[in-house]
Amino acid sequence: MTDTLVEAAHIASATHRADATDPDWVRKFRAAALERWNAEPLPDRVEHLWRYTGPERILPGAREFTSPDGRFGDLPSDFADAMFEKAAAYAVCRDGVLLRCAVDSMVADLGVVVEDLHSAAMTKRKLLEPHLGALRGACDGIGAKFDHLTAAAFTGGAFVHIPRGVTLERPIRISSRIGGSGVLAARSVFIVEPGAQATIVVDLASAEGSEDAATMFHETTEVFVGASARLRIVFVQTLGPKVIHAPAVRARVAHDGLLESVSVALGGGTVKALLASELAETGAKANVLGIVFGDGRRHFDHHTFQDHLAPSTTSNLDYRTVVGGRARSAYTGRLRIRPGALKSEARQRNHNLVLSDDARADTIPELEILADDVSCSHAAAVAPIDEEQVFFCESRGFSPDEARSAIVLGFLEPTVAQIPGDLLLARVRAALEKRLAAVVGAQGSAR
Amino acid sequence: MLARMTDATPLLDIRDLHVAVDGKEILKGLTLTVGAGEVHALMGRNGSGKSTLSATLMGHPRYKVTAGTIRYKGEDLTTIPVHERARKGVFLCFQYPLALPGVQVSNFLRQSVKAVRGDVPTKEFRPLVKKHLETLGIPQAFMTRYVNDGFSGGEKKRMEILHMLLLEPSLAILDETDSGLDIDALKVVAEGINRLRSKDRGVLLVTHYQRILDLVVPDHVHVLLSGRIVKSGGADLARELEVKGYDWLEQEAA
Repeated sequence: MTDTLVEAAHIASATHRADATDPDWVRKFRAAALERWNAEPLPDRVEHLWRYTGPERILPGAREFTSPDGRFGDLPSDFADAMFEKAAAYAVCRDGVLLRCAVDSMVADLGVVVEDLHSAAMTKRKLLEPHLGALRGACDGIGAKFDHLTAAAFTGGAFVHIPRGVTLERPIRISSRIGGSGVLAARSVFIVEPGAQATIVVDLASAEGSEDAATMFHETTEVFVGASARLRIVFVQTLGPKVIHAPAVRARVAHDGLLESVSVALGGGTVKALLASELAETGAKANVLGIVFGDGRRHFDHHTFQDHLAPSTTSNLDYRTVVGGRARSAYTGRLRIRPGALKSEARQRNHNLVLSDDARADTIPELEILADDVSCSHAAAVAPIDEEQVFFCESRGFSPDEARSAIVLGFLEPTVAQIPGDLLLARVRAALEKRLAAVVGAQGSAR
Repeated sequence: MLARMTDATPLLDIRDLHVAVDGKEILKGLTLTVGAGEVHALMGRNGSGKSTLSATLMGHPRYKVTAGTIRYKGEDLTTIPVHERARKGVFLCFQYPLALPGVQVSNFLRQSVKAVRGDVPTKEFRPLVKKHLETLGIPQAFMTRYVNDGFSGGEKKRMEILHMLLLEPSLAILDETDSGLDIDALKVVAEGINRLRSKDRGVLLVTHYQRILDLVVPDHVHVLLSGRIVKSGGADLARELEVKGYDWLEQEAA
């Protein structure tokens, strides 16, 4: 059998294994997705989105799908942190499966739901069915091929539902750990009903002892921000250096809703990430922040797409990239203002700091403005550290390495400062400093 | 070679210094001695080499010493890395301080003071900062801003003086710190410099204008012309220059 056939067989068997306990409607959902996966060709590399990372790099190929065994082993060390930080709810996922979850009783009384997708499919069909897979076609169905994969073969994922008008002061924390050398697929659905407000923090890392595993993780997250609702999602990813991570987040923001997204990508070996937001109704707004920091031979490919469908919609995007060693980053940012989306505002900014001669960063903004009377701007830059800044710091006693570290951390700081929770923030800062020590120190010795 | 400092060793001893930037010679045999306890003003037109001397003393990598010597407390300064110079008590107050977006003033100052003076306990650091903030008329909110990011010209200069006072350098070089300041800011900056004056410290004040020298009265004034010091004198020389300009010196030198 060719790899493709082996792959198809693996996906089919993963699909059937996963649907053993599914309700009928989910079984049909999977079967339809499997058909689409088999029918739809791989995206062409000449297509914009795949220019820097060929789709074959995130294909399962001959890899087996992991069937999560529902055991966690040791809880991640920050499980206690999440409790300590008094999250509104905290959930722990292993290999994509939400295994443990606790919702603060006062929060549960408000009707807030945090549970695994499978349970939600069993008991909340009315709520889940209209949403699961609903955003596949968002932003021109970008990346849909891999949406079929997670739709067919998902074995895990979270379901979060914030009822109408409910405001959560404290975040919902989801700590996710993955391991093994197989393929994992997960789908999550986050629904924030009209007038509700919440923060969801998803923290993804390789499981203890699996830091060197070459896990492949496909995940799709669908996000629905209702009218006048506010949702802040913070993704912090510190995966091991061999992991292949293909996350896709698709969001739809309704009338006067606000989506704030903060993505921190520090890990993974190959990361092919998509963040597609539809500003679907008048007054919808999205603030999209991201940082990427790669060393070694890590390969990052981030694509964002903000689609303004309605008048007076706003998007602000700021992605910052740091690459050292032989790391590689490609950022492609698309912005579309549809005809009729009058008085919309869109800002896009992507700055890249390149720390070594062998590292590389590309930035490609794409603006498609189809309406009049709109305000758009974009700024992109790729540059090494400013040596005048280094000299300034050195003149104040900073060693060359300390100077470079301070400048890089400062570059990332405005986004890092957005991470809620002191302990998670401390963990991110520690990860950044460790990364910096490796990158800046290595560069220093090479000089 | 072990450099020993005796009472006779000047704080800064520059002899026949030649410096080139991008292959072009800017300083052409500059000789200058600054003793402990002295304030020297270095004056001259734009392009005379004033800022080149400041940058060279701090060790900016673009400025190459092609001949001559710089001794600081008896030690050859030219081979010492920039940050080591800072740790040995050399401070350069920048004409155009750089913005460090994302780096908080408080963290920057704290790390700098730690590098230069060793760890100062928070209990001592805080009141020290507070005292200097008050002297310089800087609001406390300054400390949580990003270094020089969006600062006005006056704020940047105050930030430099604050940093200088916290580091307590042995040799302070102020590169046109007075330029672009209104009279109130100038007074604050001058007060900061005067506060630093002591019998152990030397100050090299690089300036265009005489007006700061009314507030910080120098012990010696030097005029730099085409990369050399062509005239030295006391505080009176600055006033003379204010009246007569630099042309007469050019003719004298020619």
